[in-house]
Amino acid sequence: MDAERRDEALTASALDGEIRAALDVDPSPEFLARVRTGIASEPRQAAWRWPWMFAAAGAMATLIAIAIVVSGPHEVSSVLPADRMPLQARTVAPFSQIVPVASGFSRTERSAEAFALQPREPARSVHAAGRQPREPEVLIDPRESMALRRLIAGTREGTLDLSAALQATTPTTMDLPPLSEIAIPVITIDPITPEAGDEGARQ
Amino acid sequence: MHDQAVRLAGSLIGVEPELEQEFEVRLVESSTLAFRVAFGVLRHRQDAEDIAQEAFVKAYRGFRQLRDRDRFRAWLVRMTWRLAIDRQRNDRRRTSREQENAGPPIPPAETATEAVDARERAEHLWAAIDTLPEKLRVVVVLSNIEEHDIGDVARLLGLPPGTVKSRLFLARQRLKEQLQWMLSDETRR
Repeated sequence: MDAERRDEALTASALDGEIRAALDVDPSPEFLARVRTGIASEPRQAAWRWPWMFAAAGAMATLIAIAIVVSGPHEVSSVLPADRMPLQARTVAPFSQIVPVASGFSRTERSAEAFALQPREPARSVHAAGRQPREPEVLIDPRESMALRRLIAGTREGTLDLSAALQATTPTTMDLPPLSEIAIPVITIDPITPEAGDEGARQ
Repeated sequence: MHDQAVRLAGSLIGVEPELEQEFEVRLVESSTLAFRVAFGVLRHRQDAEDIAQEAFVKAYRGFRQLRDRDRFRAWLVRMTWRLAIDRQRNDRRRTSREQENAGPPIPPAETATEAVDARERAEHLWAAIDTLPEKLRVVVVLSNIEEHDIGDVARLLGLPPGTVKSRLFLARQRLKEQLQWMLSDETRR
């Protein structure tokens, strides 16, 4: 009997038959009702839910984009062309290395050492030659300009409270003294009289 | 005018009765499938019903994307399998309940000896199935539910039919070896 059983177990169809029989179980009659009850407690499928959520997300994205554009970058790029840099930021050769141009010597008479020490700006001079003449630059102290930018940015973002400053600069009314006539005494100039004694003698 | 108002109200509150009806159809035609998939893992009727119900609730939440029948069934099978495996791993009390409830149903037997034999065979079979890796086990279980052929199982699992066929072959080989070893071990005793 064991041998029979073993042989039966070894055939694929018998194996499938065994598994099929083991899985041939039906759910209880209440199962469907339970599932329906579980689903009924779920929020109902709403047609508007997804479109509404998409619309809300789109509106939010638009608002954020507008806010970014309106606020804008307040910081000026730290990398500026050399000719746009503030004066303090430019590299200036030490005064001792600069050869006075308006000297009594001509250029050909300069010593080789003095020529070598002359500050060189090859790129700038080439570009400057080909460029149109521009308005003279307004040079502002970089610390001053930074402070101004901070002030503007802080005022725009509302992080700075300027009420105290406004209070301080508000002109206050004060009582002026009544106008009265200014009495100017008559200035009399006495004629100069010569001193007594010999003329030209040391006194 | 009244009909238009009703239609407008219906579209505004967004309830889609046809969606509910479609889901009801899917529920009726797939409830046994989901239950048996869960039962194939848990071998406990109540647990299997709980898992199948959970899977249906999840399917209901995402039914707008699962309206296609084949897609729905494939999704349901995979979700039920995953939930059942998770339950099996997490539920430490399952073993004792299995013993209390005697696990899978036993085919009707004429004598007490036959009944004992049938119970032993079923226990051996499930023990052998439990030794299979998960990817082989799911193929064995699905191919023996609702007379699924290889194409059906491939569609349900989203696998190429060749892969399903080779996995099924491998699973049967291993089951045979396991059962042979169990039966010979029993004979020796």
